Amino acid sequence: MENVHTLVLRSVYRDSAFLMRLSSSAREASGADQVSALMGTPGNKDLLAASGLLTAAAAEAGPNDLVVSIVAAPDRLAAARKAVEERLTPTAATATPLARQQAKSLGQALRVQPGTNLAIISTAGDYAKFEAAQALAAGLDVLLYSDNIAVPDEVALKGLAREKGRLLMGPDCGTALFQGVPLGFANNVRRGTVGLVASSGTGIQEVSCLLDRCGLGISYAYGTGRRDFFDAVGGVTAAAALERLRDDDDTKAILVIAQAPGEETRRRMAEVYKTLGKPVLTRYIGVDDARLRNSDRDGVQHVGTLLDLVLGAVRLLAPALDTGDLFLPNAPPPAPRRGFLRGVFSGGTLCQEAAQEALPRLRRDVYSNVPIPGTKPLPARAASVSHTFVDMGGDEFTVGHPHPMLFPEEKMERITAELYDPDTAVVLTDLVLGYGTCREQAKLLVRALDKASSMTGGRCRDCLVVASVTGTDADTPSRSEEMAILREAGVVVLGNTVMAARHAAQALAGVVDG
Amino acid sequence: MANELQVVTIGLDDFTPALRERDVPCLNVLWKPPAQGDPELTDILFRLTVFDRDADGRSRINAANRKALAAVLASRPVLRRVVRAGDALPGLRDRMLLHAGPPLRTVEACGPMRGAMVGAVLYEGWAATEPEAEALLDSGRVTVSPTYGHGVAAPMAGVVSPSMPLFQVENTTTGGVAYSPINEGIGHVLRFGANNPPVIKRLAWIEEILAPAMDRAVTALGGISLGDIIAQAVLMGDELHQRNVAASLFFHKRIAAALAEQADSDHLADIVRFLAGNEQFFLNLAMAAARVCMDSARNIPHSSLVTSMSRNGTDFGLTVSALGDTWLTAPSLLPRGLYFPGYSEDDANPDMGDSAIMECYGLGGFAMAAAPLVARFLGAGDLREALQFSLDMAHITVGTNPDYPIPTLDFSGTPTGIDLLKVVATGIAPVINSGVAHKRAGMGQVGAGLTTPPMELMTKALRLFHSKELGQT
Repeated sequence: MENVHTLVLRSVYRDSAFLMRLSSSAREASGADQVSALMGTPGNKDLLAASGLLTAAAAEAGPNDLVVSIVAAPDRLAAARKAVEERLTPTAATATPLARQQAKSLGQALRVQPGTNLAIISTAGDYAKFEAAQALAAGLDVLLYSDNIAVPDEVALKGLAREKGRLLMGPDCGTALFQGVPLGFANNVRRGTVGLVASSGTGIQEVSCLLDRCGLGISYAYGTGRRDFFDAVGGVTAAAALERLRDDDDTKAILVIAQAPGEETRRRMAEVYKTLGKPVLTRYIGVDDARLRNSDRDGVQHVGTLLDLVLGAVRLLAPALDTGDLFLPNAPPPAPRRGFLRGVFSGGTLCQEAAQEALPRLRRDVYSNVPIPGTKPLPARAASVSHTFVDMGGDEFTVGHPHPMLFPEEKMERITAELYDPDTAVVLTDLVLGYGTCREQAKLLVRALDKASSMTGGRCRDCLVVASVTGTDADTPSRSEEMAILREAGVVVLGNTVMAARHAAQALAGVVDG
Repeated sequence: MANELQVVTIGLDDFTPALRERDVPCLNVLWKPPAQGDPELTDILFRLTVFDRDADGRSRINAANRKALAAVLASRPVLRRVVRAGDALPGLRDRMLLHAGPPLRTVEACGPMRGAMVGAVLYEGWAATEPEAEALLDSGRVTVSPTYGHGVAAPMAGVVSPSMPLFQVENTTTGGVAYSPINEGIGHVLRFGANNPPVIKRLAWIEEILAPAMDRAVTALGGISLGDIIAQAVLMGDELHQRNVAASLFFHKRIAAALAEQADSDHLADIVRFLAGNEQFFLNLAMAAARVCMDSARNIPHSSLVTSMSRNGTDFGLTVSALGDTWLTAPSLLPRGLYFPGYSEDDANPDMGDSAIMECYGLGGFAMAAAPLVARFLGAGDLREALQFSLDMAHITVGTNPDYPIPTLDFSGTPTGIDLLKVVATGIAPVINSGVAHKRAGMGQVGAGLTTPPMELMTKALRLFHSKELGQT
């Protein structure tokens, strides 16, 4: 009985018509000599015996077991097995009319695609919470892009997530990376050994792109939602995400980015870090750095910028790596000038990263619509005054208006307005590339500069325009392409947000009134 | 997450290019707002999903609904006897009439219901003439009571009086019992409000001649299993509400020999002619079967299964498992459908009868895919539209009934077990195949159509269910 291979599938029933079709179709598809699928009834076993197919395995099968006998040359055997298995697995195309319908509900979608493990929800907030609840109840992880969900509802959802051993990434979470797959607003970055847990999407983007530039990659980047680290929520998603990274063999180091984490939550996180058995680096935005850094211990380091987070990861995982690329392009020190620095950003995290870097070098008051320590609050939608760092993605700009990462027009208008202001000496901005973002940000920025130039009769060309580009060369458009467009238009592009901010502030630092 | 990423997106499709580039399986849901966009109802659904869980984090509602459906599917309805209503129903007192649907809000019933009550009074001999009968009904000396509370399911006006014979159907799994009257035929019949002497005479014949003969025949057979008949009928184009042609034929086949043996030879020909001439004969048996099976799903804590739906010609009523015997009611809608020549919506009586129990049981509108002919008659243009009814109902049911496979759905079982939460979440109301009565008593059927419970009734039920489950208003 050479070349007879038997597959026995226990307690798998198919009717004889189905099995006949399966047999002939699998044989044709794979080039096997023979494929015979029969239920293991005594009568069928007699048939197998008569055909020389009754192997020991086949003889042992019961009447409720499916016996597949394959006669094939060794080089066709694997194909034959695969052909049989494919035909046994119901796919959407062969399922009943009930399944063939375009899914109108989560329940129906799960019937068509039962292997689903993640739901991405972006409906209006009032309804999104119900969709998220159903998804969690069905045993899925959830990426909840929607916002306008009240804190008690977020807490309730995260309680359900915890009960189910699943993750609620959100609300207001638009970025994640799973197994090398960018989810939401994310970039084409390498897959690797760094795990990320972050309440900021642009934070994930900046860090993952910088790591990619160094040759390091991301195992998983979990967004936690904007408020997860607030004490009202207590870091539920962050803790669950950290546990996943702890258990993931590919993850060798863990980076945590938290916006304004509450004191109780920080304490809770500190306890969790101890259990991970892997080095942890944290960037707690909006928390006094000196105090934090004094608490570096037990494999946990607290750093003051996203750039430091990346450098720290490199030191841990690939100390021999040359991190020079993080600082390219570079630029010679700027010519000093008088006036104000106006930072116009598409998100709060990079706005804060930049403002923090620039603050010590600026003498006059610094305003912002982001509550950055050391800045004064800028009234909603007010024009810039003195030095100003404005997050155009803030609520006051985006309620009823599209987000600048998708539609940068309002951000560009703001840049034009800053250039029009004769008191402006430097404009600093970010371009964040990647899936979901506008593909023409560099072109639109150049157009905004041209518009300001014609409005001011060329006067604003004295202004220094500085930018950083968050992205990789695997993005569309690529980082190199965007940088080239900017540099051709006279924009000074620096390697990362921190460097860009430093360069911008340097232009004013030497001047008494700057 | 060890397994390969597989994604469902709800809302924007903007997230999918990255997934598609990497061949990540990704399915988009054709989403529309739950609860027809009502944020308060969405919040209730959200709270029930998140908080109504047991100590192990499992949904109490889903577990209860599965239990309820399992009880329904395990039920085995068997016709046992034909009995006198007044003898069989302990709650049916003298000078009491039962009627279909929820309690009548006022003494003023709709035309056909009123006509049927007058007819029943005359049939019982409580009055000699129509005016006397009317006066008796107005005097309050006749009490009226919904059929549901007495274990009876009756179509259209559904008026049952003590002398009427009833089919007695037993659920052999639970021992539960339910009843329905014998279907009189079509045209000028009591259930459409006709009450002239031929109607009364026919009722008397049913009581004195037909019922005893059937009782002896059924008894001699040891009972007739109704589930088998229903299953075979579904395979032959019946949906057991509008269309019972095959079912009636099967029933006749089952009982024919026993009738021949048990009935008086003088009456046998009339009996056979009566049964053979009524294509809807099985409807009442189907209703009693559905009722007795649905009874097994009543009073299950945390279950949002709709255990009954019925109408009294003015109001639509339903009961929900966890809410026990509490009636939830709202004014009935007018059926939409096709009218017989000469009639229109202006002639239609609002929805009436206990026959919506069929839809609770996964038949009628829910089994429309099995009855393309009915769908066509109701205005569905092609086979796909007919199938779509059942496919839509699959969105709002707990599961399917493998005992009633539908060939045109690749032998999937009928969608069974209406889940109140799913109805409100999807906005898909249970679709009921209904005959349409003329609004004037005695005029008979004027058309056939589709009707649904008013959505306000479903949302009212949901609010009550929510307050019971989570103790909040």
